Amino acid sequence: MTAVSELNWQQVNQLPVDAVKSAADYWTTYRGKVVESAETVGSDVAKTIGDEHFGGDVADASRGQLQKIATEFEQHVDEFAKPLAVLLEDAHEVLSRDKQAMNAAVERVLDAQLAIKPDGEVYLTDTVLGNIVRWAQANAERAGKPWQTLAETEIARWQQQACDPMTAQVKGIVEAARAHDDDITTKLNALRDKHVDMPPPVGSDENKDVAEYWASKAVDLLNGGADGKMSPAELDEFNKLVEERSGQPEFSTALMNKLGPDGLVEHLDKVSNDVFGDDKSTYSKEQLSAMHESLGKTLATATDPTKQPHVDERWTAEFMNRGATGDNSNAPNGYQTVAPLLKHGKYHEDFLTPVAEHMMAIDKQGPWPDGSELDNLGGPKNPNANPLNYALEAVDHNPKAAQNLFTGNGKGMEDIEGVDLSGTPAVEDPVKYLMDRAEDSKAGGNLFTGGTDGDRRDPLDPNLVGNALESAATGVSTDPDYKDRPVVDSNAGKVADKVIDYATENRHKFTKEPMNDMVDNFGNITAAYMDDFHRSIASPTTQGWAVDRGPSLDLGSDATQAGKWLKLMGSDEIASATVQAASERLMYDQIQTARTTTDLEPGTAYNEAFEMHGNVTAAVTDGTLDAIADGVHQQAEDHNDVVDAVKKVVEGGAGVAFGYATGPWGGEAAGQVTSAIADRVGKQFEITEAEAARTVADKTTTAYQKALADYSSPNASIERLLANERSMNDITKSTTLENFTQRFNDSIQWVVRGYTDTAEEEEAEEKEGS
Amino acid sequence: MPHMEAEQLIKAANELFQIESDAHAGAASLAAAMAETSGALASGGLSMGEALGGAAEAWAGKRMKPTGELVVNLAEFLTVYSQEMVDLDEFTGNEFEKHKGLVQRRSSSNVM
Repeated sequence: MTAVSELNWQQVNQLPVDAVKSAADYWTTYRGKVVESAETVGSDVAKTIGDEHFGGDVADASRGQLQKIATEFEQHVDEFAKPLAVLLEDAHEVLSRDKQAMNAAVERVLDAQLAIKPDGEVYLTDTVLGNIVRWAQANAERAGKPWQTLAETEIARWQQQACDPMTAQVKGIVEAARAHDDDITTKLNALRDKHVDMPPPVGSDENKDVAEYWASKAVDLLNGGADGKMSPAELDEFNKLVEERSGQPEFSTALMNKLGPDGLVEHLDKVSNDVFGDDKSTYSKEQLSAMHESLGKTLATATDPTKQPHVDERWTAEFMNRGATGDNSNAPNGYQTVAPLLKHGKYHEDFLTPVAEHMMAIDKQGPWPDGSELDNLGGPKNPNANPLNYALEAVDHNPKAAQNLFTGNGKGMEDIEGVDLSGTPAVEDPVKYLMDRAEDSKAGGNLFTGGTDGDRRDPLDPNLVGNALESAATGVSTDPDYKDRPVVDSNAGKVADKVIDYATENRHKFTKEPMNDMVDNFGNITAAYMDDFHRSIASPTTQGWAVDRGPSLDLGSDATQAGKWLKLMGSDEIASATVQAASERLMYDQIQTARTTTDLEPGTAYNEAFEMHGNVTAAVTDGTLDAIADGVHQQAEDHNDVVDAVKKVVEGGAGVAFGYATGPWGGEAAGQVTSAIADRVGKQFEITEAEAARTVADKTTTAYQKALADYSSPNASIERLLANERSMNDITKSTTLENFTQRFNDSIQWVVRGYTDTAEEEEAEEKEGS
Repeated sequence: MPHMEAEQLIKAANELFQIESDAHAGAASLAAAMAETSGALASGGLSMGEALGGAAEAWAGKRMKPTGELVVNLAEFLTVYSQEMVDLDEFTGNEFEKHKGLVQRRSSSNVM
């Protein structure tokens, strides 16, 4: 973050430059002591355990460690202590100049009997003003002008010739001092944040030699030790050994390099064939799962280019080539063996995106070969049978990888040199491909026919597709344990645009199985971009927006597309609850922003926000009624899931990636609002099919009002906001509160009209009027 | 068997512990001095005051503390090796407890 100094002229006038000088001297003296420590370690201690006292490999390693420690001390001095001392010396020099300049300026001001305001403006003191008045009174008659006119002219002259130049000087010195303070602060922060690489301690697994030792031992265990046959106890030992070191780059890279992609597939095949083969198993399913987990985490670490060391690109190319081929033309591909590893660990996008893209390209060519262990893990017609599902799960865990996959940005499969891509061109539109393939996953079909739409034996899981899309579009993984910061840039918005375009053009697909599984993901995407939806459905005259906190969608002012999308959210209870909560939350954010950053009349600020939230709620409710009437709605199995979805939004959880302000929902109010929204949405889904059909057919305001159900919760929150409005009297507050309901009636009209684009509508009205 | 004079390893361990102790004391004095300067600069309205405090903390936490730990780790290894000739790869530091009487002092646990 850029530092912003707030020094004022008084502070510049009294800058504690001596303290800066003392600090500079301290660091200079101190760094000399650290250099002495380095010399003692590298020279004196090294002599104490010199060759004549200590021989052999361990002695060499110990002396090597001494040199590493000595180098560390020296590096700390070169990278930090020395530059810091120089920086403080420079700081002392420039700040002293600033202080001296200000001292001189202040002296000039005082000599002229002027004074300085806190903001640096130089002004005429009462003494000077009195002198001017007296002078004007004495000379008025001779000048033939009223003394006031003379005084005003003289004051203006003083202002122009004395005060203004001195003001410019004082403010200029303050600006310079602030710039110096900022510059020094930025450099100090850079020193503070500089990454430090430390050599590993003796005996640590991070030590290269030690890592090699453990990696060799792990491979020995896989090879079965002395008798060449791995016992269950040896597999347990392998899993434990690898699991414990799976986060260490030295070990992970050493193990993956020793195994190679071929060895990785071969050893996994050996164990899974044993577990699922016809003969009595040596190993258990639990042991195989543990192997997937330990090796999965290790693979993630070894393929992360931000970690040192990591496997090189040739290893990745071999991994992908092995992934695309089997032992023979009919055998399962390598990907079908290693895919379960991808569920574990967090994979870097430069490895994961090419692999996922490659799997997708292979998937497009037709069914994956029969007989892989994936069939055994999940059973035929189970999503577990398709390795691409595992890649999608991994992609969900890394939003950046998901964004790269769906937008074509970043490193892709064609960027990995040495991968044989003949016959597997990249899928042109991954969003469309995965949506279409997920739809093919509907139940039924013949296990062995494969290849025909709707009949693939290796389906894609719509949930996993939806999760990967949500991760990309919101920058936040759907994994509840995801703790990283949201990956939010224009790529997130591009993915959201693609999803919205596809879903609004194919709305019918998403109101029934299997694709309705994705609508809860869409709800979270909508919540993340609620600001864009509000903008798209607002009146063109609206001015009171919330602070823009994220990338924008291409929706613009396309209220019709926004309406269609929001209507789709209404078909799913979780999505409906998420979207209504996010919209309500943003409504308060908009009111507060408009009230604190614009000159809008209070009533207007409230009404504009009411309108946007009203439109969202009405559209979503319309979707609910429509879906219930058609018998294609998706009701939450457990009301607690609805409560959790609302709670996530109200409390600003990970699902609301772009983080809106908290509004009036702190503490207890948050709990009350959560219950109220969840209950209200629950009631909307309790309506009978016949009643919903009647309402949709009626298309009347009264019928829709009934469906909107109880709105006491927003009223209570708005009352809390209004209570703090000092510029509004009680009558205005009461009218504003009533407007909330009135705006909902207007929103219902918008829905009843069929989401007519507001801009077009107003244009039409203008034409009619003229 | 490799040549090894146990008393020299113990001597080296003592030297290392002393280095770590001096480094710890120096870093602690520096931290106190910088905290005082940082406060004075911040009171004077300089944003660099807080930044200097942050830099001093980073020096202690990100550089001197882990380096001190490296020194102690090697001192402990030399102490243990002088008695047990434990394999470098398998040294964990846990073995030091039973031999710590061989050295003049145990390292300070909180290097600042």
